[in-house]
Amino acid sequence: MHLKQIHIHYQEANIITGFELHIQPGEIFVLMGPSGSGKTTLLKGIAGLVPIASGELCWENGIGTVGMVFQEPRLFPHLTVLENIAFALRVKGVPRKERTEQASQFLKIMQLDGLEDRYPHQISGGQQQRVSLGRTLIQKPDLLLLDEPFASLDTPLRLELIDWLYHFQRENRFSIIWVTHFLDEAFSVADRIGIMIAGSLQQTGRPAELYQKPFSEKIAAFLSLPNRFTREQWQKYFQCDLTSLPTKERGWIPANSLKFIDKRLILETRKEENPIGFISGIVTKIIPGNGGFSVIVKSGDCLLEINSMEWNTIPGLNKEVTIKIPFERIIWYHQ
Amino acid sequence: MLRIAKNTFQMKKYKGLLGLLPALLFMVCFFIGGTLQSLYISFSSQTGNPPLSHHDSFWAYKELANSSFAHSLGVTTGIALLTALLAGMIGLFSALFLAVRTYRWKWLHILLQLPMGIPHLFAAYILMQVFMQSGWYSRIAFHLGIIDSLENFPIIIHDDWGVGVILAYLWKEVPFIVLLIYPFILKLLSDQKETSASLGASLTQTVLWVIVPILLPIWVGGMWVVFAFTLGAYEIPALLARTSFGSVPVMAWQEYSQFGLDRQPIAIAMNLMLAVVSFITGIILIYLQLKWYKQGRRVW
Amino acid sequence: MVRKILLLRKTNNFFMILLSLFLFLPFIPLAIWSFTKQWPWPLLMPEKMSGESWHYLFSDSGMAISGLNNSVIVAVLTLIGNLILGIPATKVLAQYEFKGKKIVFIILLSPLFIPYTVSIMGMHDLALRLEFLNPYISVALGHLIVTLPYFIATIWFQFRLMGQKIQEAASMLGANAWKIFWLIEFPLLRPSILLGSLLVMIISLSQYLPTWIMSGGTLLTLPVIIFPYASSGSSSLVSAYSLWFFLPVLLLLMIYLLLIKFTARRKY
Repeated sequence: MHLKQIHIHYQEANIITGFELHIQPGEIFVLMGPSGSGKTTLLKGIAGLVPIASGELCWENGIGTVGMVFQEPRLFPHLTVLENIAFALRVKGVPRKERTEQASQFLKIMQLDGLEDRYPHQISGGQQQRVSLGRTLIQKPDLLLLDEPFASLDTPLRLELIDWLYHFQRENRFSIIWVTHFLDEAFSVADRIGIMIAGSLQQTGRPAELYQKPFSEKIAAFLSLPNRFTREQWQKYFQCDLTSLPTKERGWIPANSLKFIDKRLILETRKEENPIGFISGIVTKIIPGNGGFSVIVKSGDCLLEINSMEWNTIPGLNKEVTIKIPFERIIWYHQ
Repeated sequence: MLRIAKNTFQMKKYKGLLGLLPALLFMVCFFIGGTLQSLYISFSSQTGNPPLSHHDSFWAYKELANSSFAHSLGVTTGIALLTALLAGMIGLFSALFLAVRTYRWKWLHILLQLPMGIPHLFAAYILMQVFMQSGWYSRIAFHLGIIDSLENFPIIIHDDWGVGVILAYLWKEVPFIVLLIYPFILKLLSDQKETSASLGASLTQTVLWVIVPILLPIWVGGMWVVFAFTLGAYEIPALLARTSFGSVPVMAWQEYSQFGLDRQPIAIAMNLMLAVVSFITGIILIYLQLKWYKQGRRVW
Repeated sequence: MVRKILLLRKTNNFFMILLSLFLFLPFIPLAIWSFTKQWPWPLLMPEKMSGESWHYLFSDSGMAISGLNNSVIVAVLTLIGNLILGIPATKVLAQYEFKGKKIVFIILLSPLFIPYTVSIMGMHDLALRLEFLNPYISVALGHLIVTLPYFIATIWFQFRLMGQKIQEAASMLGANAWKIFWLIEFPLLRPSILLGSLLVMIISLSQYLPTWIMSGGTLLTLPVIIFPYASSGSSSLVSAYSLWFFLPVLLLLMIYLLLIKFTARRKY
């Protein structure tokens, strides 16, 4: 499917301007962006719920069907789970017997069997979202639009549903445009990720590309990449001119590339080929996580984040520390 | 500590309920008390000459146990039922029309609300003025060449079938139903239209399968109010129905106001029969609603 | 398919136009009739206009002013009763859960579902025996029975929509129940209280039978004055009275719209 120069206006404000996107069959495209950047409006535009002011929606072969799942389950309160799932079939005019049969089968796939005759208020939030997903998937859409579908669920439930949907998609090979604000969710399912700011797509790429080649500071900030500084700042740390080296205006360095070292070893390490920078600062916070510890160090006006696996190398709070920065690990990008 | 906290919590809870008391007392004293008082009067024996015929406390009801009153009761109930159903249908359609198509046309809204400000008494009179054989519509028909004499215009007022009565009620009650359900339809449309459209449903399908079923309890409730009101209303049948038509409220009021205290029990008994009809309808509707809810539906 | 939809649209439009005409057209001859004494069939417009009916209306026997006066006094008393009884009761019904709530609800709304003529007849009998009520008050009591259910139903929905969350927030900030009501609930409820009040006043102004019964026919409000004319069929007079009756309704509507505008301007 191809989106050409989509413009969407709402109450005389341009929400979407000149949006271009090509979705491959069977692809999961994750769309991210700050609140108010127009992601929901774009999805509604694709689904035909909001009029598109100009531009074109093209399908490569024929016309495909589009299904959309919203953030809230939005189940019809007066219909049972089964009737909710069968709604799209009823709309298409499938006879009652046949659609009941299809919907019952689908309930099994959705792991909802036994809940056929319940009403939406009688099932849990996770089950409601599952029904909502099933209600859309039963249409066998060529393109599924997900608008932060699991945002209101707790983490284990969210992960479970993501996993289920991912496998379902891999088996059935339909395309998904998936809006989410969870980075872990995005990076775990995406074939490609697009970042949308102020109504247009700023960068698209494979998940890894986004970290390695952020297009601008805006995107780096949106991904909350750690240790982002300007070249001038880095120069202060390295105490040499970096402009002759392959650098750009800004650079970030992964938190696990930074190491604490003993101040006394500074002189020895100076001998290496690449420039090496040192920062000294004071530990202000230690955050335990499932991949070791994050240590926040304050140096001048800047805050640095260092990841460390082992407890015994972690300095105590308010201790003065020195950090070694390997130049080659810095990822440079444009302002 | 814990116990004290619990006690004050309960105190607060009951204190909160105090606000209900005045209104409840008022309704119990005056509405239910008034009804009981009426019931008592209807059972009292004739005042005036006690030693004579009517010692039986059921005499008023016995007097009503004849085919002519049964006929009147049937006609009154039928007219009320027809009015309620028609007003419900037309009101639902108009409210949907307003909500879907013309939420910007302020004038149509105002027009639909206009009859709300007119008492039933005037409504009856106003409709009489246009629908009479010598009324304004018959004049328009004459000028359009549809009829050539006054007698050719159909008899709508004081007719055999109560058409005039029903028209007058519709004139008043359609706006009432619209006023009642319009905000709900607006809310339902904004909640459900998008979801339903994303599943491929057309507007007609959304309305028929989603909006109307969810609206059902309120819509039926509105029709019940119209039914009960029409059942007991006096002004419109008094002005627009033939005397032989036998509207129960009109007959009751004649007994009450014209034939002296002796006949008061009869008047009250007549009205009580209407209350019973309305009450039974109410019980049936509440039963149906409970049954509906028991399946697990919960909409509002 | 498209054709079918177009046809449907056309029939819908036609139906709405018909309904609009049905509702609106009767007002035209009403206005004309009030200015003429003679208007024989089949004239679309009368030949001679006269202000005789309006003259009569404002003469001593016409009682236009005193009738209006009585009507308004009763309507105001009814409104006061509604505000005092209705608001606290609706607050409880919307915000508390307790045993027997359904029954209380049914009792409060019962005049909507059960013809109230019966209870008013009984009430009058009671009032006669006690002989303590001034006719204005006893009529207002009768109207209160008729209007209270409408008032409660109108503001209940708004109370429900408002929910409990902001009250909880306010109570965490240290506001007591009274302050919560005056500073938070009342301003939020004002539009629906205004709408309920408008409804109550209009319904009270329109009542004929309850007014007649509760005062024994002694308190002459506009509908009580007009009814005999309406049944005897003096078109011109009744038309003039009907238009005269519009005056308070229109005034109320304007006051309502002004108040709504006034309160909406101060956004909270």
